[in-house]
Amino acid sequence: MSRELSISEMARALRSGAVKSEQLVRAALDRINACDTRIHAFTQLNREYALNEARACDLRRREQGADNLPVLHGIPVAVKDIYDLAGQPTTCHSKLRLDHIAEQDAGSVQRLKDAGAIVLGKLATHEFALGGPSFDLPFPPARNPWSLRHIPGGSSSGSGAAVAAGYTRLALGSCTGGSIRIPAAWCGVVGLKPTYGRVSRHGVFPLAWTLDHCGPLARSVEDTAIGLQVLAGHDPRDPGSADEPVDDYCSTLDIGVRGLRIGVARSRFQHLAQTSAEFLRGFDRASQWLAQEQANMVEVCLPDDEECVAVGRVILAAESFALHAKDLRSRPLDYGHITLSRLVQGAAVSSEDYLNALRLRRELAARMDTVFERCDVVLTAVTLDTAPAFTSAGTAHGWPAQAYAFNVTGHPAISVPIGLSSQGLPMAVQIVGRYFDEALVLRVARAIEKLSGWEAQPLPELES
Amino acid sequence: MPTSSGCSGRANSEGQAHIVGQGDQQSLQGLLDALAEQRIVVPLDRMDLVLHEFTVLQRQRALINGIVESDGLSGIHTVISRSRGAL
Repeated sequence: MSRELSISEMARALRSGAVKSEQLVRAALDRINACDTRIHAFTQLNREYALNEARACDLRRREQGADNLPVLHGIPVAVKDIYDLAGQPTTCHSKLRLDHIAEQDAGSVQRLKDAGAIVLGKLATHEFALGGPSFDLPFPPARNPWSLRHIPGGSSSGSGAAVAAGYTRLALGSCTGGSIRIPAAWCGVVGLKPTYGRVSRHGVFPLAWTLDHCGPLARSVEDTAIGLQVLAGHDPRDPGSADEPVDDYCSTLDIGVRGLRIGVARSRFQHLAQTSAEFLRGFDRASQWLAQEQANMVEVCLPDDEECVAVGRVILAAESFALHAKDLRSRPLDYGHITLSRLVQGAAVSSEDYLNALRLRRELAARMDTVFERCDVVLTAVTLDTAPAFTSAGTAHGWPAQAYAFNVTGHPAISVPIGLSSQGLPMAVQIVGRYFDEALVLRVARAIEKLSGWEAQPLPELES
Repeated sequence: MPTSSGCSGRANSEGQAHIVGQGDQQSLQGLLDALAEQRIVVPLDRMDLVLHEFTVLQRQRALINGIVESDGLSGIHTVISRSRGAL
């Protein structure tokens, strides 16, 4: 029962006494028990902790009343296993980190807990949030609940899979080159990469400091907005954190798109061999839905994706190498094959390469800002086809996706489902906004969610 | 255990020749020398993916450096502005 309620419905049911936190947590644990031996979304599940927390929430509600309790009070969530949870290992899905125990909660985890959320446990990731899927790591790779033969995307693979499977409505992911939006797109959930600096990265194992973003994956746009409301804000412990005002993300969700100028960036991917005809038709449908709602659709040309990817990869190579050089020297065989092959590339990136990548990034970000002189948000692709099968997935570099650009420029971007393909796999589009304009990005995504009918889409039925 | 230049300080040029073009040979040697200098050992059975990644990254480095040079971007300030949250 509980897994079909949205976060706001859960909160209302808890306040009215129609449901208890313990019921919500037990329902989540039952679903995980039934499914996760096949999906492998969780690397660590804290059953007793979660049940104890739920009972404590129920007690607090009985004793203090429900009126002044925070928004996520008693609601189960889960986090990618690169976020610190005090007293528990942050393994990063790696043999190198199996013995690591976090001393304190990550900044974003603390915000979730302060809002009353119950953290069920840790979710699978590509090793160090880098490349995958891999079968030579301490935990198996997560699988896509819509088809266990297909990858869920990554690197927030467990976060996408857990939300799609109905374990939780909200999970935390991280994104350096598409790692929130790609699993969201392929798992049929919503994934938001906020503006660079919007959400704290304190206590989150880094991959590349100037590209890393933290953010929510959730079942619906409203759940995502609630999650961002909790997560957004300045954290002086994260040197990249922005001290900017936080909007009200929920109150404007259902205003609609009438009169908005929406840039359509179809030219960015329509000619590519990786773009499937079925996705292109889905993208055009999404564009037509918005036009029918009286949005002003404008063709726009975004910065060249190849340049964005090149900049992102050179920066990532340099910054991730600086992080891992010591372990690459002392324990190279403890890395998975894919991770090792990518991390060592940084040894050959010169200071000139790195600085030129930073210079070009600034130019690309300025070009993206210019696009927003002609429109309020941009509609574009995030993935160009449905999720690949494990047998043909390769490493993340070859995936049919266009998500890297907005990690490079730092603009907020969301992936929102538009429906299922003829193969029964989710498809999605991406909405990109101006810096710190997540409220508008969420509002347009909400319109697409309503127009697509995705909010009525039942959970996937797992293959046996 | 067979290893790359991390042990020997030299690449196995026979092994590289069919994976990267002649023009990349010097750069590939640069990667292997850099790994040796960093005292990083890559097992030979993992070099296939290392070389694949390397060829892709080489093209991307060349693309960036070419654009910066031709477009005169080398004077661009690179400090990250925190007040803007972005770049």
